Amino acid sequence: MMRALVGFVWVVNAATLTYFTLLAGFYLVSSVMAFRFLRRYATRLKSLDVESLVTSGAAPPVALIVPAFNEERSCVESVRALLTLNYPEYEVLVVNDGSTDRTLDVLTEAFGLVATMRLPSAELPTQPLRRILRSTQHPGLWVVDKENGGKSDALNAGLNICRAPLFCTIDADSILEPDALLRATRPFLEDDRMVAVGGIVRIVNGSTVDRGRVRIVRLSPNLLARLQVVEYLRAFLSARVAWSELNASLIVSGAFGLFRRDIVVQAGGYSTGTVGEDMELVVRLHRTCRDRGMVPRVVFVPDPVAWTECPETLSGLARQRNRWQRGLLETLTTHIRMFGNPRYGTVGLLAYPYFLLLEGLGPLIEIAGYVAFAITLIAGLWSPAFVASFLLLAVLVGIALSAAAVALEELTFRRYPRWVDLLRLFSAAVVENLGYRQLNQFWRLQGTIAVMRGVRHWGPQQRRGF
Amino acid sequence: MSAPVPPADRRVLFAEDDPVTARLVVHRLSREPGMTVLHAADGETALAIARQDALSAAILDIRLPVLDGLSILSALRKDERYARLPVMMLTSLGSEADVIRGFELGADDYVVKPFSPAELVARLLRLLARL
Amino acid sequence: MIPPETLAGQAVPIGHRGFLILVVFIGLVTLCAVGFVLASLVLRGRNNRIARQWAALEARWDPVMLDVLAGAASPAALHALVRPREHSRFVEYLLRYGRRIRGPERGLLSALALPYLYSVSGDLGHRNVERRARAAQSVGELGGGDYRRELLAALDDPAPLVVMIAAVALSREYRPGDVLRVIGSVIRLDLLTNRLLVSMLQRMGPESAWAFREVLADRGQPAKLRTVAAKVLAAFNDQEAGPIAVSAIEDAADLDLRVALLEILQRIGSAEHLPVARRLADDPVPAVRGAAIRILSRAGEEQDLERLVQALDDPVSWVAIHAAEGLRRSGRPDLLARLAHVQRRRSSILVSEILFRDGGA
Repeated sequence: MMRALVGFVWVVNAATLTYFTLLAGFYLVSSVMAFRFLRRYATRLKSLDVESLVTSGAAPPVALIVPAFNEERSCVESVRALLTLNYPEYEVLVVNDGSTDRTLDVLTEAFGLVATMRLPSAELPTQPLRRILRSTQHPGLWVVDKENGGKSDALNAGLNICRAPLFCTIDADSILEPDALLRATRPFLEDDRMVAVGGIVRIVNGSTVDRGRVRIVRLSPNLLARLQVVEYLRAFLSARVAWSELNASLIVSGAFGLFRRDIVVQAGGYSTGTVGEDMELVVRLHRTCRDRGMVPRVVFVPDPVAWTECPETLSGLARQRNRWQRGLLETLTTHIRMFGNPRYGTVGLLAYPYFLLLEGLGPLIEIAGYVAFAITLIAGLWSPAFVASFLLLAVLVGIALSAAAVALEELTFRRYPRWVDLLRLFSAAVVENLGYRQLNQFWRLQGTIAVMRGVRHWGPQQRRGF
Repeated sequence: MSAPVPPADRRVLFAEDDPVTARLVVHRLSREPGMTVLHAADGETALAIARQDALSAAILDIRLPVLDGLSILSALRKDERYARLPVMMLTSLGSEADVIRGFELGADDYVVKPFSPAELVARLLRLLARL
Repeated sequence: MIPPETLAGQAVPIGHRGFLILVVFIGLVTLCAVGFVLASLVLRGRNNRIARQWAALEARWDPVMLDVLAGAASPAALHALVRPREHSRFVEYLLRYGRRIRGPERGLLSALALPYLYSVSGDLGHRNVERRARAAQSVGELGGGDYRRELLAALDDPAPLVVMIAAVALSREYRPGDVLRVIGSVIRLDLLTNRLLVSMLQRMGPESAWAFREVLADRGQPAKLRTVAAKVLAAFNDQEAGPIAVSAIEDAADLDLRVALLEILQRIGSAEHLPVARRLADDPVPAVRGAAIRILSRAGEEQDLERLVQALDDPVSWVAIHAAEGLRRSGRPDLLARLAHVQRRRSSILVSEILFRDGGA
């Protein structure tokens, strides 16, 4: 019986060790790759005049699809900001997903909307449409009024009337920088095989926003927000750059992603069966393209920026992380045949195993690891000094990686002008590994268990917000 | 022998958010005798200037933060003081639709970016001379 | 509760070596972490210093620069303010203006850049791709034509980035002797989309049309090159390309090329191309069909209106849209109004939309 316990502890410890080493190894390698790429990229940006290349008649038309649910307070300002982007040819398609507040009324008043018709360019199944409206003041602004169906459904409704060759998904409360579209369309102009482009999503909490534009960039005083800033830096500047370089990007954030319309429609649009519809679409795009013998390119470019709000309360954050984990696992289990499958290139061979094992099952392994470590300590299987040193190493590695991400930010984009903010970022990098990370894993574990139990959190009657 | 009549005081609204372009044009325009340039970096400020001051002409960049050039133009035309105000638009390459819309809303001329500041000034002076 | 002595017997002897390794790793990682923090602080300091230096340079140069551009000061006055180690910064400074200026002031910019471009052009042979690209851009934007020889050589650079920058710079000015070579460089830029290539090359202006016609007529040229040439000719509304396009359509296998050839005919809008368009209006490939319908929309005659009405029900929506635009242009509102009330759902929506665009409804 004792042997069994010891055996169990050994196995878990070994698994945790492997997991930890692989994870640390991945982040280390990706930081190095990111460093090299970002340095080259920054110089490249300077030597190419982005604006003139794109605007000299080469700019492809873009449709911004903005799903909106109960946004009466902020939608007018957001939409107004979206109408003044620095891009020659684009439309804004707002999809009112059956809001129960005055979202539609507010928009109608502010932009002089009138009912009209528009020939659909695709027929993806959605909840019934009520009306299509067009602004008399801004001919490029359309609003689709429909019955509630959730974010994927709203996006599909927007896709159905989208005619532009490229479309951009954006959250109703995200703030796009004026030249974000210019920068995000560039990869499409440079490579015919480009299917999706993701830009960087930055956290706006604490910054000054004036009439739909970020004026002054500051760190929020809220600790959770700061921790998330460091987290996003690591996720975007290290990890996503690395995956992008390997042409194995599985994630293009729904808060800011640019896609080729025809390929997405051919693949069937967004799936309404998952919470992680943004990731599910990208994975499906990889799959359908390769199945048809085409090698798709999905890249992440760090210069176009969208700002978004992050949760500042523990409960809000817990819900978000839970949802992300569920989305991740739902997507990865749906397309499981891509796992380790050389037919899907680096996506199948590298990205899929990493995401399923290290990110999907990671929380399970890590929490089990803590439990095993506790048992080890109590039962005296290893010397306390050893266990303590190991934990210290783990924490230090985490700090080093977070610090590396902050350094990458400093090397390239330097969006936080104040010295004190930089120092705060570093202290957040430390704190992140002393409880925040563990808390995150706990929430993600809850999400994993929820998926394993097949829990679905909504029914057709319940109104879905995003 | 009477002294030559100095050109009347002309106040020109210039709405442009790019600082380098703005500097170029403001400097060039200010050199013209009697010309005062009122620069605005966004649409709302531009309208505020238009309401407070008595303008002789306006040069509006179409892509402006907060309120775009076309909206400013249409607001100006609704103001009875400015129904006949000479207005020039600054557009970027590849946006013919903007140009057409601008003329529909009552603009008098347009210049495509990138442009020659000297030419911009020359065209503005021609516009003003027509009155 | 399990007594510790019982378990201790099964304790794993880690030993000093294991512990030592752990300690070493801890030390290394701590060093790394501290290193990153220090590196960031140093970078921040350096960047602030550079920003301050730039601000100082701008404060010193701006007033005189603006005067030079306005013709109120000579370039020499600005040169006097550029210190020996500021040459490359000055070129970068000039580039900022270069991007925003066309017309006579460009000559002034070139005059300002002249004494410093020579050392910059040395970078064209640099090992590092980015340095070469930067050099190509500087001499391309500011060289005013003095560095055409170097830029032409750069068209053979192993890095597509440099080739692209050189091609962009060379396309700004049409030179009969170089134009075919510039067009040919497109082959190297195979990852670039046609759209970008066309917008780049068409800057050479309609005078260069003869070169594009030559490329288009040459069946031996790669399809992509001919497609780009065709699109440029379409952008030029080049009449003389018409006959070439008509003959090329017969044996053009590549789909993009076929569509591009039809685009030429559509732009020219001449009645003699109608037979081709009528034939291809039933083509199974939507892109070809759509392009043919566009020709009929633009230049079609009375007999083609019926075909356009049929096309309103085309399964591919933008073919239908082109047909609708043609009908609108036909100036036959009676036809459109009649269609708006027909029960064929698809066409009636389309027609209503087209009518709305005209301010009716």
